[in-house]
Amino acid sequence: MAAANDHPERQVILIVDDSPDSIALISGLLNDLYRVKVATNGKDALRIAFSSDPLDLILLDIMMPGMDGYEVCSHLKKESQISDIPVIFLTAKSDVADEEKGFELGAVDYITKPISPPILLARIRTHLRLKRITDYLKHKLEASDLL
Amino acid sequence: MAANVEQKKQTVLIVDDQPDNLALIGSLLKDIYKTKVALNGEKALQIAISNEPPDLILLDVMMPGIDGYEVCRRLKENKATNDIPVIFLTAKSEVEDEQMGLELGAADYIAKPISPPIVLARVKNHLMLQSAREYLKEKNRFLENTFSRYVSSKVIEQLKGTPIDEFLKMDKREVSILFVDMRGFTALGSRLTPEEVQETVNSFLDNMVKCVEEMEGMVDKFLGDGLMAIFGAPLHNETHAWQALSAAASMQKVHKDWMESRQAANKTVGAIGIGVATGEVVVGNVGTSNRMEYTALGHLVNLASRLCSNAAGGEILTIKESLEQMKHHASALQVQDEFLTATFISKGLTTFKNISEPLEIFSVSAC
Repeated sequence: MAAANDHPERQVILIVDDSPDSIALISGLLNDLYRVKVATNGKDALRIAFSSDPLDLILLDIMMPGMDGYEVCSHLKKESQISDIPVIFLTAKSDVADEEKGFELGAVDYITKPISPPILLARIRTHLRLKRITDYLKHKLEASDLL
Repeated sequence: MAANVEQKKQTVLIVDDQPDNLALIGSLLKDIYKTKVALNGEKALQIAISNEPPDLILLDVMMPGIDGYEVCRRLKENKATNDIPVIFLTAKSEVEDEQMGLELGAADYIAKPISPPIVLARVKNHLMLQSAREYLKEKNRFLENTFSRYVSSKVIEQLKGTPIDEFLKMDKREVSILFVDMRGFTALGSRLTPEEVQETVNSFLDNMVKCVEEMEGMVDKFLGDGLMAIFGAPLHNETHAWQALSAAASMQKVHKDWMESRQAANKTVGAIGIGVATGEVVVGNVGTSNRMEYTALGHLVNLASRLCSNAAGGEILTIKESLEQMKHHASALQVQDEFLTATFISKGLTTFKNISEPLEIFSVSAC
């Protein structure tokens, strides 16, 4: 994808959603600010997450045919090299028990559908900043043998 | 010992005109954080500007008296409180409202009726981000320690203004790299006393650093009898090729005068050779926690260094890319400089290690 390579310094977001409309809406909001990758199912999402081009954040739809968002998340969190990619769940239903489950699996937040653009952008910004700072601090700690 | 190590609990201020909501949220947070409550906006502002300000504020939007938006606006206007993250609590969730709240400087929204795991997660996220930010405020001190010897105070002030994100990332970008060194200095060294060597090198480098700073470049490192400078980083600068070659030109001029004054004092010194190359590098902070250094990495650095060693005394060697950009910027900036408009002579194609195609090298001599 040529567009994704135009700004190599930008942070990379993977959108995982089985609905093309949803992907189009979200990537339309993010394209100017970030490098965006997309997957329409859990298997592709994992393949992309494991590829050599590291991701900075994953927006993960919960309800998908085949492997659902929870399952994708638990696979991601098991692998040490990608477990620190923040995952934000996208969900239409907002049930406390489900939310609890998502956080237990290691997600950092939820965004409810229908998506509110300012909220989506604000949450992404928060977690990308956190990711950048933690990566930086981790790098420093590793360098000083504290980790 | 353990008591000393125990972390101070962070404080969350909950603002809501409904006592039930205060109680519910308070009971959720009280095991992890210290909580304070306010039933109205006035009280919230009082607590925020007190001697013990909260680390985060959960702020109801709809309240009698001053509403949540107004409270947020006032918090963000006040220098003492504008750093405190604010999360709005709201029953209505209109996109326009959220847009407005976030534009006022709020960090996030939590919808009512509240979901306990969501409240806990968002409070944690923003407190984490806030602590990390505070930690990185040290960045300014670090910047001063790392850069102050090498860049002008003007550049440091601009760096302080750049966001943390920008500052931390390793960035691939186009810059111009300059290497300069004094010819025959090693031989000279054997004839002088250590004090004389030191005085000569310092006086020489002082001249070179001034030329770099004048053109808003950064002295990346000193290399004994020379130095490496970067133009176009850490501060972005479109006209880096022009600045690098201008700096190179003034180095040759300044050095020529200096050589003459030394000659007159019977302390002969050698001429300088300079290499300038423009292209892509990765720039950023590298090193270990106790010694971080801002630098440029890439083949271009080696190329500039090779150009410098190939240059004769009084000569500047550069590549087509630098030359063309320099000419373009010079005409755009409408600068007149006899040296820069002088003819650069092509020295033909030269092959460099790690560079796939032979490069055309250009030369100009100052003396």
